[in-house]
Amino acid sequence: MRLYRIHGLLLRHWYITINSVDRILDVLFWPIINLVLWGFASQYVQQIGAQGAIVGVFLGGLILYTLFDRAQKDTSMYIVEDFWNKSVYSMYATPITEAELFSSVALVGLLRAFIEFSIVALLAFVGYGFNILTVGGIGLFFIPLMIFGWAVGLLINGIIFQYGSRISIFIWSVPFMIEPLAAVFYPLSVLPPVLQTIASMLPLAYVFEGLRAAINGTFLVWEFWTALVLSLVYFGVSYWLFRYLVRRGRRTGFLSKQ
Amino acid sequence: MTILDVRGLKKSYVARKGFLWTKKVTVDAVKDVTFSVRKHETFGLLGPNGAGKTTTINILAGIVTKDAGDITVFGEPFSHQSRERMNVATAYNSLLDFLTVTQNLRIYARIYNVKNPDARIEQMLRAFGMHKYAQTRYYMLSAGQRTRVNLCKGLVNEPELLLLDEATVGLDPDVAQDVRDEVNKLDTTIIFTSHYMKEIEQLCNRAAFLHQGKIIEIGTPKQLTKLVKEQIVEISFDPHRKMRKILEGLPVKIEEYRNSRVTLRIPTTAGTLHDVLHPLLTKGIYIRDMQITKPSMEDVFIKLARK
Repeated sequence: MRLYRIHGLLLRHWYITINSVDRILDVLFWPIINLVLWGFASQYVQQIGAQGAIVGVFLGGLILYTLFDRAQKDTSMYIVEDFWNKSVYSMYATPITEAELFSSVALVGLLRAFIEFSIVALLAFVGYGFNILTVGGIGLFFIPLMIFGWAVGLLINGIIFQYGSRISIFIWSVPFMIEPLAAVFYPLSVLPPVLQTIASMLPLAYVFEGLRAAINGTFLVWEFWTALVLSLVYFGVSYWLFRYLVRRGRRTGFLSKQ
Repeated sequence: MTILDVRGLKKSYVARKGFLWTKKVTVDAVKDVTFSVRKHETFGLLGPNGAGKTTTINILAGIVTKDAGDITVFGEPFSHQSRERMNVATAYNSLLDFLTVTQNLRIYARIYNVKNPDARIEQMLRAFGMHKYAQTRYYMLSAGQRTRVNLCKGLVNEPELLLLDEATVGLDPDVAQDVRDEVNKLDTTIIFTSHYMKEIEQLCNRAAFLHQGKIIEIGTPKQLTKLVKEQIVEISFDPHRKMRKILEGLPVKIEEYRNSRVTLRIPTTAGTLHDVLHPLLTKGIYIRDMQITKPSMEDVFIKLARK
């Protein structure tokens, strides 16, 4: 791993960001729309008599989910850009390694997730009086969220290296597919038993159970560690798969034809 | 001094045919390729479509992995480190469309750890006459301008070994000539593939002819043209009713026959030209003009491709 190559890739991601309006807007637009939607919805639910800190549950879930969502999307989008631009050959004929590629997109994802989180958290505080930073120990749950976001992003990248950009729709659809199982806005116990079993295999379910407990003043140590270990396992498997599929792309000649 | 040594290179691709019940078909793109390239040499790889030129270049560029064989570059086994001293440019690849020329080149300059990248980029853009387009977005460039930018990208790290795959394909003849002129000025080792035999003749010190994944001939353009043991002779003459009959009795191949002009393929063995001209003159054929064309790389290509 060479720092100057990561520097080159970061420069690439920076130029892509500043040259495309959608890359700037996607950090602001959808998170704010979601926040406004769920903010009013949660206020209404509170007004009609919901028990407990329903605004905190909804907005906390939403704000934390943006971290996973951003990490996952950025890990994939900055890589699929070469497929859309037909510049795969130019980029992958350089000596960059899979580790350098991942490091660069992970750093960009981290930075953009931080920006998105800050904006949404600030708006939640200003607009709905909910301050996520007052939720005890919540910062620790950021770690498994980011790691799992990278893991899902890498998995999608691997599939793109296998089938090309025609399946890039997964970048946007996978978070929606995972969201119901992540129990972002409701407890895990609400789900039917089969879905509960599936959800219990995802680190996100433990993160959001932990969030709800933390809002009520309890830090769930077991949930945190389970989420962390699970996200690391998923990350390990996804990274291995990503590396394998990039190398497979070189072996089958797929990369040279993109 | 040998910069690149390739021994017994092999590469097969597996294609799947069918929809539900797929059948694997193995295509041998490169069967057994062996060659070496000396320092500062421009080495051509030529051959018909599917001969294995691009696959060989792709393996050397590191974008395709080999199945078998040994590659030694700069005296060491081909590796990630050796790729830092190499680069590639092809007419078929692109850069990021919505970035400017300079932004695109800066990315590659950083990846290759180029010292003082902006000065290097400016120098290259000037050399290729592209400095006016430094701040133009890549998608706004014409095909010829993109090719020049791709070449700049290929040269950004001052590679000791430059791979050029069909670098001038699709360009107007004048632009292609400009690119050839620039390539000719480069002070580096180049491996060059092209469908244009004129380019191979102009640029390459040596060339290898690939056919069905194997090198079937290798040598300087001069040595390769000697493989074609014929010369083309075009004769203009005063119309004569016996001309065709006389020609049919001679050791020549009639390429084209018109009323007062004939194109002949005559073996280059000693005395053959005399053996053709003498009977014509003695039988009263009045020759107005004659043009002898030596075999070109194009003739070599046609001869070898039909083997």
